[in-house]
Amino acid sequence: MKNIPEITTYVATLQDVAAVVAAGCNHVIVDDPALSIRSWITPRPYDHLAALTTLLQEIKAAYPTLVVSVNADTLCQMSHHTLIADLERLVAIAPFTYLRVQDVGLLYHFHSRCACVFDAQMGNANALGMAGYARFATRQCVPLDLPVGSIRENQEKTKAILEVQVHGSILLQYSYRRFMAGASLNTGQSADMEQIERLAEDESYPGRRFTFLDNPHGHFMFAYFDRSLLNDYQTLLDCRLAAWVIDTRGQSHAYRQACIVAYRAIAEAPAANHEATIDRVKQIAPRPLKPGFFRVNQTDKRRFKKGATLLDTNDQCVATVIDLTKKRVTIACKQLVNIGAQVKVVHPKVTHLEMTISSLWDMDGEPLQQALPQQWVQIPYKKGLQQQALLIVSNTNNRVTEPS
Amino acid sequence: MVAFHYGADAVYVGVSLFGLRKYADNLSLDELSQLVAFANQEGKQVYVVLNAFAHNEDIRALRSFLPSLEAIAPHAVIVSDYGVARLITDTTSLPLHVSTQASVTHAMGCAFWKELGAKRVILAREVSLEACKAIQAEVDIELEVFIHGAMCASYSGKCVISNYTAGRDSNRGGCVQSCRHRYRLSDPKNPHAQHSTHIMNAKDLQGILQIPAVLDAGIASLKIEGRMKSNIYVANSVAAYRHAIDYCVQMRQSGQAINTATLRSFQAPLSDVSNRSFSAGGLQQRPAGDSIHYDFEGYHKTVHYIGRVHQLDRHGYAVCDVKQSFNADDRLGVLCIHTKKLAPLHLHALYTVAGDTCTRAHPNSVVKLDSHTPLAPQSLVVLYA
Repeated sequence: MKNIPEITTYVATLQDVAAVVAAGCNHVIVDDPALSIRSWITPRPYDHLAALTTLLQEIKAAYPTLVVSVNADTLCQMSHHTLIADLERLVAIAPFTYLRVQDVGLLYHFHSRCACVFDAQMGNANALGMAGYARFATRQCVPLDLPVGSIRENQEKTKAILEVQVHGSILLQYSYRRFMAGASLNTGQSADMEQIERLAEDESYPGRRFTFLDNPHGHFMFAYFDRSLLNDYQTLLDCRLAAWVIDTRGQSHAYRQACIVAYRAIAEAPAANHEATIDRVKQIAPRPLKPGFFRVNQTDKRRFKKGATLLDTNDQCVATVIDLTKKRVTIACKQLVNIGAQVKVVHPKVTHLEMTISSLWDMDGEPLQQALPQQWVQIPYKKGLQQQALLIVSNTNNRVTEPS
Repeated sequence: MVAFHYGADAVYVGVSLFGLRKYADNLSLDELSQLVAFANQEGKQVYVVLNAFAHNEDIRALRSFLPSLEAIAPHAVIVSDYGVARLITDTTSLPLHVSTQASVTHAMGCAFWKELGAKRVILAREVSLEACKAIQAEVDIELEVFIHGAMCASYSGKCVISNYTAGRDSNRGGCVQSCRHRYRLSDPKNPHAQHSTHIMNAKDLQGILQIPAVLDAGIASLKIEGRMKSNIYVANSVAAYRHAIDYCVQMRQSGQAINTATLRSFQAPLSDVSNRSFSAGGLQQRPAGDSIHYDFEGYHKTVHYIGRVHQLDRHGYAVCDVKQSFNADDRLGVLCIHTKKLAPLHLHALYTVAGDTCTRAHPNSVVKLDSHTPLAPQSLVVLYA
């Protein structure tokens, strides 16, 4: 049977629901500024989730088969006891399909009361963790740094029901501090309902304009580009995920609608030509569109590739050179060092140097047969030795090694 | 070792993989084994940090690494990833602590981790001491909080700026601290630049004055951040908090009131060593504008770290490694291992390791100090700025 993922997006009003359903959305995530940390809705006084409850009832009445999630991605503080109590009431009385959470505490507290979608935002990248969370969460949203190979691997290994954000803003950072409000208000409480949006350019790396959002929940930094898998839709389809999430909050309705239309068309008719709908999205996108880490995640790979280190995995560092004169060299021992030990000298300026520890002296110049770990001793000078060079022995005695 | 010598009850260390400080002086297994043996001898604890967010290849590598780690028997491992935690609890008997990286802010989160078998939760730095007390009342699990050191701008574990700007994984040890850069901010409705500021540059946390509240909250452990900091930073901060904690506990046990002026006196040495100015972070209330150093122009310090006295030679001269050049007649100081306080240091003479008199010491060398007052091994030598 053909897997057609749910086309999912965020809504805040019944009018939003009507518009997105008309465009092809069949799963809505309802935002309320009390529960949703980056709803982009103008903050309003807390109403004990009354407006949310009413909206959920209206959606159910108007769209009885629509999949509806409530976005509750806040990280709960102990002061949120009223909010949690109101959420418990909402779960008990309001009609919706999933509670969408980021806080593992909320997941743990509510999983027995309603179906939950766990959206960690960051972390939850391995199959073992996902399998564990599957005990609590009906679905999980994969983090944006997970490449498609890992998504498939995790799905295969866990059989977890997975969603993915296919389009929209990329959250880089979530802070409890209100940096921008803090700069102007300098207050310890976030009673203020102000919401501030700015563009920010790192002066050390100019040319990239990040979006900053500051609201009562805190501060959010977004990437200078939007994630878009429109050019990777065949790969995306092959993942057979349960839902594709489109997050265009804070952007125009036209952008949201164009995205929904494009992804819906792809989901329903993969073999058709989607150039026109994809181009429409690209024309009105407020930021550049990139797949992010969906195709591949090379972070740290180039820097820490094999061979980038001077040490082999079988090497054990026995000492470090801490003083160098033409007569004697002082070393700080990390392991036992015996006279006669054969060591390799490792240093960026040394290409190939080995030596035999022919003599050892203590710091008073008295001869030794052996140096203990943590001891400072002296050895004869050898040409080529450098300050801070490491003295290495290869692991040839089945000693415990660390994996590469 | 420096931390132990200056009064720490426990240290947390990284090994060659899975920590969040890739560039710290992480330990080999042999070094870890030596440290654990030393700690056991002294009645102290060593926790191994495995708090990166793991991908599948990391889990595979960790699975083969864990038996070696368990054989060394550190007193706990600190994790933030649920998969890593499950691996630890399923395949080892290592006690589990949950890292601040897991962003646990509520009793419900503590309950989640307790069910998995965690012994302790290191709460997010956004949790106030008042909230800690409330959490402790609801969940029977040890709580640990940060009391001193550098602060993340964001919830720890909720930042991937480095991933997208520098190709380095923030949550696997590669954070480049982009949050500390200067940003030019503009209103999207009016794109002309408004102003330039270190908008996310958090001040360092300093919680000396909150120690009484810590005692009231029943917190099991206080954490000083700084695996990539110098020996003088570690020693100085550990010593200050050791003094403050011991003083507060002594006052409570004897039924006397804690004197605020005395408590404040423990703060002063903390400003001597490199810092970004201090705030109480989230210990008392939600961190606000006064916790951000918007106009950051550099670190503050009154001393530069020179080196550690490793031993005394047969003449009684202090054998010391040198990290920072200095002259024999410079204004020097020593953080004494016995008093754990900074005091002036006057030299009779300065010698090379070979015993030749010299007037200047250079970095990456070893010297011998002939000082007016005897120096003890593990004391730290500084140069006043």
